Amino acid sequence: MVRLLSTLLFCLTGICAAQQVPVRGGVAVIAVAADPGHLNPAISTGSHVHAVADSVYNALVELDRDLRPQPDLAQRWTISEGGTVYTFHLAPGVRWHDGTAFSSGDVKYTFEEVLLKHHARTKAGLGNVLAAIETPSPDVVVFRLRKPYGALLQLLNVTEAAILPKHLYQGSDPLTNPANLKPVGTGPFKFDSYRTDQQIVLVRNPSYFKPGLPYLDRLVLRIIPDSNAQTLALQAGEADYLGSVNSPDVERLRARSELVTAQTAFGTGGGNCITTLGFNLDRPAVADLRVRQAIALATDREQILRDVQFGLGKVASAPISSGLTWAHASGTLDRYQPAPQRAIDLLEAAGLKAGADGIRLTIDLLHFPTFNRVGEVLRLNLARVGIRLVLKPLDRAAFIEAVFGKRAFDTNIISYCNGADPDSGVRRMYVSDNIGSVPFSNAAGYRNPEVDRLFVQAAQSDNYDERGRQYAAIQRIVAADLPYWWLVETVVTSAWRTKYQGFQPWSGQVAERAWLRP
Amino acid sequence: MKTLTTVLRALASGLVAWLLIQSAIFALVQSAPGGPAAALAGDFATAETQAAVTRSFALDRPVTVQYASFIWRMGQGDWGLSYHFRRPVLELIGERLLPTAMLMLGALLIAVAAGRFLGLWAAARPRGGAVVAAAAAVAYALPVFWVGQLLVLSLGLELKWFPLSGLSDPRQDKTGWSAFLDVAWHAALPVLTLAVQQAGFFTTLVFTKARLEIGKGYVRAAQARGIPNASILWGHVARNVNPQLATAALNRVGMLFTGAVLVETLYAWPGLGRLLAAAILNRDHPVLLGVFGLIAMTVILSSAAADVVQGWLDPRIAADRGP
Repeated sequence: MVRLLSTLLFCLTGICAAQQVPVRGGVAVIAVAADPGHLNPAISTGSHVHAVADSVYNALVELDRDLRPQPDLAQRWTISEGGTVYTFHLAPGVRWHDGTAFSSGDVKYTFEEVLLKHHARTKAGLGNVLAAIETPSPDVVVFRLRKPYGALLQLLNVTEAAILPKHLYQGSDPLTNPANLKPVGTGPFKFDSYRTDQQIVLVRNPSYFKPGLPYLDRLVLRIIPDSNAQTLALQAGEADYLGSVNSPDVERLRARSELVTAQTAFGTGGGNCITTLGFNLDRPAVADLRVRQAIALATDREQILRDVQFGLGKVASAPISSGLTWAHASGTLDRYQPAPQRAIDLLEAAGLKAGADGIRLTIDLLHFPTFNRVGEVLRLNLARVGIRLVLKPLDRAAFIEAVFGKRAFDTNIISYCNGADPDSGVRRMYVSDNIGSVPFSNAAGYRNPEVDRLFVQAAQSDNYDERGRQYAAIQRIVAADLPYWWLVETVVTSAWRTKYQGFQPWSGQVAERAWLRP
Repeated sequence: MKTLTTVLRALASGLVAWLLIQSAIFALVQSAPGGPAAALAGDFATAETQAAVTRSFALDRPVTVQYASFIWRMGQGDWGLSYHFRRPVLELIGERLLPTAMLMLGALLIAVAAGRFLGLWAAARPRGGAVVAAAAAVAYALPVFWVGQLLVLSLGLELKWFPLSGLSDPRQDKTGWSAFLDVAWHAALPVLTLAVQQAGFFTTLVFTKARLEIGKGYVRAAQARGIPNASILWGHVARNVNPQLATAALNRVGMLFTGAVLVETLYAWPGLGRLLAAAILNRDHPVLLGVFGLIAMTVILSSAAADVVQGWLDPRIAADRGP
């Protein structure tokens, strides 16, 4: 049923790809937002690197639209009884773009020497989980885990764990290896040229190990920094694919027959994101639960959805994204329907009396400039109950220092991407051993031993019913404690010219199956 | 000889000014909140990873040591390595110099020519002139970004005369003459966008100066001798406007650069402006200092050049400076 519905959704949004037979040939120009700096996906979590480099590489698994692991370099895999030994059987006949044969040694090398040292997310996610990687034969890799870890396969795709050629990287510093600027991968497209701040050209890999793929001859990744300019380039036909369209532009692009738009929970570099108001529990102003409850009850989240996101996405109904269907405890947040009068009562009860100017409390809100309008709505909403919200927009580096370095804030807005599994994308927000200078960690400073325990338990099982129950319990607790106030779930809108089909907006390998109608 | 002394004196004071500017910028860059480590280490980077990044770029040394080493290396022509690109700053600047120079020089030439023509033309016409002068003031006041959007929508998207983004056609690589034409075609809108505002400035300048000149005795004398008005305007008045126009043009270089940051972002033009904007977000200190250093140098050199050029165009000024 879910399958049928999602197929139906595919067709409604215009990507009924299955009906026609793909043909070979053609060029696609893909607009990307920033110069990647380098093209090594294994040393960076930056979406600008992945938007380009993922098409050159592969990983052990890829994730389909519903985030289920599918074969990539690993043709199949087995999981031991107890879930601590994963055996991957690698696809035969895979070659690097320079002709060298790919083998299990490349996988072991990449994990041990590059990913677990330099890929911040994989290092944090798998560093304490992996006990050893063994290569009993060139086409078999065995991952031995310290404890069962249900999220493992979700963390092995090309964005989290691209496999590099050992013969080019071994013995060098992976951060400065020349191959970072002239990548040699196993992927559907081979590197051709890189003109900084202009474009990166990739060409078809004729000996790709997936028969028949890819279809396109060339992929041009055109760097267009301004999002408005990206949309205009797409409209003018200068670009063929845009991975992330600004919400205000979506309606305009939808109305054009030469363009197709699609909404996915995932985009290149992340997904299942919830725009979240975070409280600094160390600050007296918001340490009182009644104040946080009042803020929740004073917020009109429908207004944010309508006025800021133009109706794209939905109001969060639980702390975990609805995209993770098995973990999402729908309705957990139903008790916080907008109720300004109750909010005022709670503030009064907390001893916050309105002054002569009607103001009970002044707090600051740190955020990226991209959340200016969310901040405006919050400011107006909270003003109604006597809370003055002072907006402080900061760029990325300054925000990270203020929020995670100095913890100098009352509240903040962060888009928390839950990713493909709560253990990688949700746990980090709540567990008490992840408070500190790590960017996008537990910014609230939330500590609850019961929640800590449940996260450990939930990660150790590979039974999704059991894990789902544990995550539901966690959501009930945090919904009551309110270290965060979950505002709206966002979606990624991608758009492309109608003559193309088969783009995979949720994947780093966006054009592996794309083709151009003759 | 006089010129040489002037140039040498200007260069010497320019060098001092440049060193002061570089020191001030170093201090500003250092005091910006959020350091390079946060920008470089990536999301979810542990404290240990951030410390390793800090060490690898020698950012754990005292600021005074960093400053000394920065000035010392810069003096030797080593502008350092970009944190973000991990490539020499001079190389990064070199790649982007030509595209930016194209924009700035193209816009400056068009703006000076248009401003000189419109300003003089308007100065000689009491009523029509007021309209031109008002329009010039408006053009000068309009934000570059907004003018750019209008040009993109009208000449680009609607009329399809010019491409909207980038330096060249993404779908095919061109060579020789056709590559040049391709770049020129792509440059049309960004150059025009920058030129509109500058043309407004130069028109206003020329208009004001020419109005003053027209009231002077030599104009009346020329009229009395029966010289046609057009000849007086384009021959006599224009000559007296030229020195000020040239000086102003050379002094606009810094302003033009500010516009280039916006125009390059809007048109995805691969120039120094975008390098600078990205370097600010990435806290890429060596690139920031390099680009600012180059801008400061250009501004200093062009105002020194302005002194010299003014002397050529108006011998009275050179004479005033004495032997």
